[in-house]
Amino acid sequence: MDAQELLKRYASGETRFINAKLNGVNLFDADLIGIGLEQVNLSHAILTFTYLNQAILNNANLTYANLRGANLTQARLQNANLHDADLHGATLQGADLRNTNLTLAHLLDANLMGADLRGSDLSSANLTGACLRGANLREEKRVYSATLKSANLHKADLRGTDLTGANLANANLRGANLSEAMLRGVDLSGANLSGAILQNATLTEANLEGANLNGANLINARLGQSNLTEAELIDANLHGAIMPHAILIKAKMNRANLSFARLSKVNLTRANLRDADLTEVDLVDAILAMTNLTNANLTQANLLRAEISTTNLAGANLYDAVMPDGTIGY
Amino acid sequence: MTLSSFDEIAKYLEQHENSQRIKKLIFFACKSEWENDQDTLDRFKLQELIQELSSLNPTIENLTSSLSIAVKSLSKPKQYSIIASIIIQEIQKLYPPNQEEQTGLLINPPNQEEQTGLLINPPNQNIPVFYSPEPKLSNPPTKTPSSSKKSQYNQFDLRQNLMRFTNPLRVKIILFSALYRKFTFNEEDWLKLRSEDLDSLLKLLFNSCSTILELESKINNAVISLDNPDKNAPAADAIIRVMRFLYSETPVSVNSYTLTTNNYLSQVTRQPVNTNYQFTENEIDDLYDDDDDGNNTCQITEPPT
Repeated sequence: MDAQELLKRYASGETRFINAKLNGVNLFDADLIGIGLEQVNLSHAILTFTYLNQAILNNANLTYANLRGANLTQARLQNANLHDADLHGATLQGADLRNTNLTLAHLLDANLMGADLRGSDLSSANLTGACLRGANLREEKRVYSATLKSANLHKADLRGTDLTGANLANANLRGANLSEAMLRGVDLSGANLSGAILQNATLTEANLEGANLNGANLINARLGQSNLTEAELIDANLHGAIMPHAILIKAKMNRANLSFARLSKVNLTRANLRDADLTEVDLVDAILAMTNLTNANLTQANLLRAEISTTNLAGANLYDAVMPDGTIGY
Repeated sequence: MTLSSFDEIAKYLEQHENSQRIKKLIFFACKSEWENDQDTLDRFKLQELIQELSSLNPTIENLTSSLSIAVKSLSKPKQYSIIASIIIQEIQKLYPPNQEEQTGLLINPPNQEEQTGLLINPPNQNIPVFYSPEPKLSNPPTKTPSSSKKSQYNQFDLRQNLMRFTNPLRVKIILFSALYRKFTFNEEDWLKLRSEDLDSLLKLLFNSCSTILELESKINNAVISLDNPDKNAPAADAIIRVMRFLYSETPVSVNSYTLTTNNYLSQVTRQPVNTNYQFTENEIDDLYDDDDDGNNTCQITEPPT
């Protein structure tokens, strides 16, 4: 079927074109609101600025399709294949993208607000500047598991996004906004989160091994039981962060702000906290073996029962701190 | 701060098609004297002028404000506001990232890796390279009344509001046409549009317009230059509506701009837009048509010291 025939039949009232072969078709700027295109082949089709609001595209083949600026508001794209599709500046607000293949898709500045992306594969997709506010990528055991491995989410808006259990290993989240995001149990190993905003985000049980969080804003973030082994947190702001039982072995935390953070039972073995601000920090039962706290400010910190026998405290300020044996420092 | 960063920026700006104007404006911002004499200008290395400019302006806000004041005191403020935004776009790389949540203005270096999405752990460009823990604020630049009206903004809210009411790609095409040249839908323009994110384009527009009227005329001229006004005019209208708040006397958070679709559409009474502006030609064309302003530009007011 060619474009002309499709448009003619659609104009005359026909709305369902199941299984149609439309690969390479040019439907630039066409109005196809609510069209039924289940299982169609639209590979390499030109759908720039096409109106596909509420369209049904479940199981459609949209590989390499040009969907720049297309409107797919509330479209249904379950199990669709959008591998390497160009969705630059497309609107996918409220779209059903469950189990879609979006590997290598280009979603620069796309609107994905409130989209259902559970189980979608966004590996190596480019989501620079995309807005995923309120989107759902939550893992549902044995049903959905979203993958964003090596995806580019530079400057993406992920405020309040549910990414529970998602795989974001090696993703680029530099300058992204993840305030209030739900990131429980995510894999962010090797991810770049430098300069990212993670204020009030939940990262409980997250794997952040080797992640780059330099200059990140983690004020009041929840990081309990997270794994931050060899992560970089230089100049990061962790004021008031809640992170009991976190693993911070060999973490680089120079100049980090950890004032009022709750770090009970953390493992900071060989971590570098030179010049860090640890004012009123809770380090009860913490392991500080070979930890570098040179010139750190530990005013009024609580180090009760902390292991500090091999800690480097040269130049550290321990004024009014509770020492491991319960005495008060000066 | 490494010398190579200054070198790189200087090299880029020297290769720019408006390199002469760029150097003149930087010289002016540093020395508070407009210099048209090429021999005099040649005696100063651009790299050193950039170094001087950045040390005179400890924050990106200071830099933006200084350049804005400098531009306003020239006889060709329109052309030079664009030059100023080119300079800011480059020199902002020297500044540390801001506390985004507080100011909302990200001053990250432009994204280098967006084409592939495959770059694993790119070299960290976000570490402050020009960080002065105690900014030298002994001589802060004086703000002019109009520049003080501009508020800083949360770029995430701004983008979200735009996306809520209009098509992000259409917005980008209008911004592209307002900032560079008419978007022609050829592959070259698509590639250029793909290499810049919406955030950077919005920032460029905001930095190059000191008043909302200037912004409106730029956007409206872009729409006139483009075909398809039926589709582009509503997008332009959304840009102006959303950005108007950034220029209000008492800044209103764009966050509070949460109109429902209905009342958005019902707001048909638009402010008359820029009634005094003559739509003679696109301002950018104006800039690029006039390749060399020779000695035509002059300083018309004393810049504040």
